[in-house]
Amino acid sequence: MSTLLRMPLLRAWPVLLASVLLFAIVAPVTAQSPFALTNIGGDVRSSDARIDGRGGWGLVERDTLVPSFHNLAGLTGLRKMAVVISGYGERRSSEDASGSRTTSRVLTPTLRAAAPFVNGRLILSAGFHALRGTQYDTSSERIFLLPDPDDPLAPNIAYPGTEFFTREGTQFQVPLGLSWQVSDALSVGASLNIVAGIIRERMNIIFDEPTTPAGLNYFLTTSETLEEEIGGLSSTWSVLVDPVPGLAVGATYTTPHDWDITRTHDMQGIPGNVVQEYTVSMPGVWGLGAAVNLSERWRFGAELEHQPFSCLTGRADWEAVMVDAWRFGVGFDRSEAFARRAGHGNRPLRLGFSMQRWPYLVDGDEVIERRISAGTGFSFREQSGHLDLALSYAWIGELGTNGIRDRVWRFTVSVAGLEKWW
Amino acid sequence: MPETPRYRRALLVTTIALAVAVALAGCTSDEANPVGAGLDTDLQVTAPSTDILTLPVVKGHIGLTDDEVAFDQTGALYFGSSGPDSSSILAQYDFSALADTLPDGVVLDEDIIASVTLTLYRLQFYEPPESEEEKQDEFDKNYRVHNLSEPLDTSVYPAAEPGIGSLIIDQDDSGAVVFLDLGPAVVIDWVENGHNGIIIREGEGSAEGIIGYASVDMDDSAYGEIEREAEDTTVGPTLAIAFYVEYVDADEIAQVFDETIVLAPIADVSTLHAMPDPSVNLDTDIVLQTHQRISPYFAFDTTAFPEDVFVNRAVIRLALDFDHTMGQRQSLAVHEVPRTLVDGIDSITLQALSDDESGVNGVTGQYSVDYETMQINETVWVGWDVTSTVQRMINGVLDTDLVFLITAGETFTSYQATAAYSPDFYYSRYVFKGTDELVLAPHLEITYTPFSGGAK
Repeated sequence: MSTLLRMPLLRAWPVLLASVLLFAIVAPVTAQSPFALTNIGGDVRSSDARIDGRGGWGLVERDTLVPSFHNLAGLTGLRKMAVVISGYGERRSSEDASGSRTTSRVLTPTLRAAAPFVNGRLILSAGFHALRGTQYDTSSERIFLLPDPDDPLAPNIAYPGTEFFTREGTQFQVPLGLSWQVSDALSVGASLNIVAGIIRERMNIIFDEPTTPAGLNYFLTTSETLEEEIGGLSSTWSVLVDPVPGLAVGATYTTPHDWDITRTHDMQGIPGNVVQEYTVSMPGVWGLGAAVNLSERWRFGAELEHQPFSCLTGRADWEAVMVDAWRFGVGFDRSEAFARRAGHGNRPLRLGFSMQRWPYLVDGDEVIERRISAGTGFSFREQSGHLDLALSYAWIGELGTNGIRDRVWRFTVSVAGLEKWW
Repeated sequence: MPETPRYRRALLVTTIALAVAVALAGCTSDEANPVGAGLDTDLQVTAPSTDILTLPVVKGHIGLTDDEVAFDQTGALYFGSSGPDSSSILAQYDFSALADTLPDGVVLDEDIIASVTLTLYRLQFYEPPESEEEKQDEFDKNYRVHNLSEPLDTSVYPAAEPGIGSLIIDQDDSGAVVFLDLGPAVVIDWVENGHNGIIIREGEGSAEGIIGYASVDMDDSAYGEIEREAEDTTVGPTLAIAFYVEYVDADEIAQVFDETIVLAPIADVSTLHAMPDPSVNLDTDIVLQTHQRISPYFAFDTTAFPEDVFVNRAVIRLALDFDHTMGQRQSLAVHEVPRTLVDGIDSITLQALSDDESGVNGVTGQYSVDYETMQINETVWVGWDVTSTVQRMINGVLDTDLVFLITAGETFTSYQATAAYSPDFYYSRYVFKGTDELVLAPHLEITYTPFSGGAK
């Protein structure tokens, strides 16, 4: 590696890491998307900035310097213990018939770790990453017919009130993985995924009028909370094959599994609550990806993921609007080089496009998300790690079909560190 | 280290990354607004509705007594009439030492008495009420003072007026302080022929209204209702006897005795002789009375309400009957009381009602409303916020065998009211429309929101 190149990065990466921590710790988690107000919520997965920057394809990634957990089979060959932290922040402009709203948020970062055994042929991995998020809140004016305190027997009067609604919660996964290099051209992996999370909805209705002579609200605020606590277990199987030189093919399959959900419904002021338990059968997820080398440094890749949510059972209201979700991504990746005096020519470069169908209808129509992305990265000293950045812009939904649309800037930051641990 | 171009470039990258991080860190988000509110969310809270319960299932009046305070001990003296209510003032004086106050050689007779004035001090509490139009100037009253035919016994009151003897004076007057000119002969008659006491009655042509005057017991500075010259100034219905005589003393020196002797009554009491009993079961009227205490109680049937509702507001409302209400505005309180403590019982002591030690039988909660803030119309709803009580009753966490008891100025519970006057001392009578009223009957308004989660 060029010393001239490394020096500035050595100065920069601690600050960049601090910005990641800023995302993860300091920043308040605010609204996500109005699309997340219903159903199972929005897809918040992000493997790392490298994959985000090139359209989301990564099932064929096998990089021992910048390990990817997108496909566990690709971890084989790792020579050092790897820790990857990746997070992203978004700035989102949402619009519907009532107006628009711009929000920013930072998601809980993904944290993954892997340790090699048997000269890198056996990899044990673990981690944490978010699957779906349901964060959004609304505030809307409403009219309520209520008695007039000064003339209580007269017909009710239309008084203004404000309805505050908040939906929050994250569904996340803790995968415990095992990867095995069968041969130079074939690796397999498997993980046991502990799935958990919460979907919480809370509604407060404040009756702004009438007021008492002391200026207090005459009618007490109504407040209800609905919380669904999710627990489940799934497994993911993966394979990575290099059938011919210059071509890699990867696939994963996450088995159908159940979500055991405890639903607790509370109303403020009423003792006790309503607790129900039910099970949602989640469909399996399969993914298939391929990449071909275009030149020494350039690769072109594509990936398709499919999850037949139309097979979901256990929630009648969800089933009625569920559709099969899919995601397709393509992109180019120029790998990093370490040529002397090459300057920016050494830097990795990623460009991509992805298209995704959300698993449920909104306003009777499917929600399509399109995203363009670009990214780059920097190596740490002595190639002991890597910092990657990705910037993407997405179009989600349409006013004409969904009644809502989002336009999203996303900035992803990943830091991968390698260290011998034995 | 010298700044190289690469170093500056890295610094730029760092700065941009930090700027993006801060921009996306949530500090620039718009406040929540209606965007997205049209989507069908899982949680859908029900809109509130209002039910009005108009038929109390338990109702009645109960007398309240204070074991620690006798009726005539601290009470003000009530004079006049208001609707069917009427009261006269009884007072008795001791003239046995009057002659001893005169100088030697001066004989008590009419000639040495310049004037005899009976003074009544009105309490501020009984100032003419303010109407919406303008403040009434004063109560124009006719005062008729009679001798009593029998010696006064204050212990029998409140009761019918005693036997009346000769008329002493018939005088019209008004104002915060009333001066009745009795004349010297009256005192001489009392000294020579004995004094049973006097009755001060309201004569014909008097303005409507019962007025409270200071009593002889009002010697405690805690009652700051009268402007007194000094703390020890007697403020009861006093007799001021002014003497003026020129005489020669034992040393043959000419003297002038020019003094006024003020006699406070040795006993005084109000008759409150025409106080009609309120309706037994609140049919025609609902009466809250202080001094000679009467309190109404009632309960509404809330058992038909589902348990799973949130009470946004529960209000007990009574319609004030201004034609029969007298006294001043003050805070009225409503209490939660076990039904068995008051229902079907003629009277109960405050001590029993506030049985704090047992914690079982006494008042369990209280609410007050600032009566002063009520807008006064021909008829007005007086309301008490009983949200908490109704919420607990509906949810089954409070014994439903409770009644609401209304009081004024009582201190047996610790509630704070903005306008509270001692019910031992002051007489007020608040009359509300009874349950037979078609429109203005008492009722309980419950505005509630059903739990969208259904039955539990």
